[in-house]
Amino acid sequence: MVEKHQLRQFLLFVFTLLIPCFALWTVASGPLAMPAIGFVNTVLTHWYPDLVHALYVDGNHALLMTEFGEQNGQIVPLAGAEYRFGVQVNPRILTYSLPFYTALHFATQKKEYLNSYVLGLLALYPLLTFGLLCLCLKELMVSLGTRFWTSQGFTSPMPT
Amino acid sequence: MARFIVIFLLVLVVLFTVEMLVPVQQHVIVPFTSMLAHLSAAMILPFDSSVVAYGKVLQFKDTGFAVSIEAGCNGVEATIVLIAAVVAFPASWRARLTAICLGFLAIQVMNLARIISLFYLGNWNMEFFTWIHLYLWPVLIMLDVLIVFIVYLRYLSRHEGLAEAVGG
Repeated sequence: MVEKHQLRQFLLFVFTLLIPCFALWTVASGPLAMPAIGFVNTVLTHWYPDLVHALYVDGNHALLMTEFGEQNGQIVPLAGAEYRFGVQVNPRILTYSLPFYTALHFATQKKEYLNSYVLGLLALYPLLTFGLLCLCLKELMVSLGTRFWTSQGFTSPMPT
Repeated sequence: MARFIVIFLLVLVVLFTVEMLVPVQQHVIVPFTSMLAHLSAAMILPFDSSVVAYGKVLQFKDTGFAVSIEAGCNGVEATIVLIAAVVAFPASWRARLTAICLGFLAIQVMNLARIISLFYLGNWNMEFFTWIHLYLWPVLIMLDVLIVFIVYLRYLSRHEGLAEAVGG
């Protein structure tokens, strides 16, 4: 009976906490993603200096700017282009785990909350960062196509 | 705990890899996703004659708004997470299979509610649709998985003895 009440209480707390947690996250999702964006920017610009110019925060999104240009909808070398080619990445599809984790954590009955919460965040951020790195690599592969593969010395698996 | 995490991650990686294989996608995932679309349509059509369904697409006749139910919208990933958790936790195979079957049903009921609600939300407001589709429903589906797993653990503690199960 006590267990049943505990489950009900847990669910009630989760649903109650989800609302303010998601409200806060909606406002602060840009800054929350900053550590991951900064780290992925460093990795990508060192890993693919010929492909990636920078990854930076743009409101609630991130912008992945390449070392290519865009002219009339075509990706061209930067020298002869009107604009630098970039793609928008949505880190919020990864960072929504933060309000979810926060709601679950504080809805659970514990003796102490803060230390374990911080430890959980420290475990979540590397996963977020890895997810963002994969997301950026996917965007590069899809948007640059064969240029991405040939720049790495691979044969493109994509149809030309 | 370490054993649970290792088995959980291992089963997760194996099942996600199997799910991504082309023959599995062709013969299991795509037909299952189409079946979900038909089921959603069958649930909507008796109450709303302004809706048509073809293949894995649901569409409003008047506004033209349509949703296509794609792989990733079918609850399979959530089911994989549940299977990994249930398999990783020591219990009898009968209890595990029952939990997986009932959990799969619970996830799919939730997923049907998700598909139908998103269809109507999208027709009303695309901004809300995007937000709820990308962030809120995934949370609710994973919460569903968590609740199923908690209920399963409670069942084990009553019927199989959780301490024995953890030990064995």
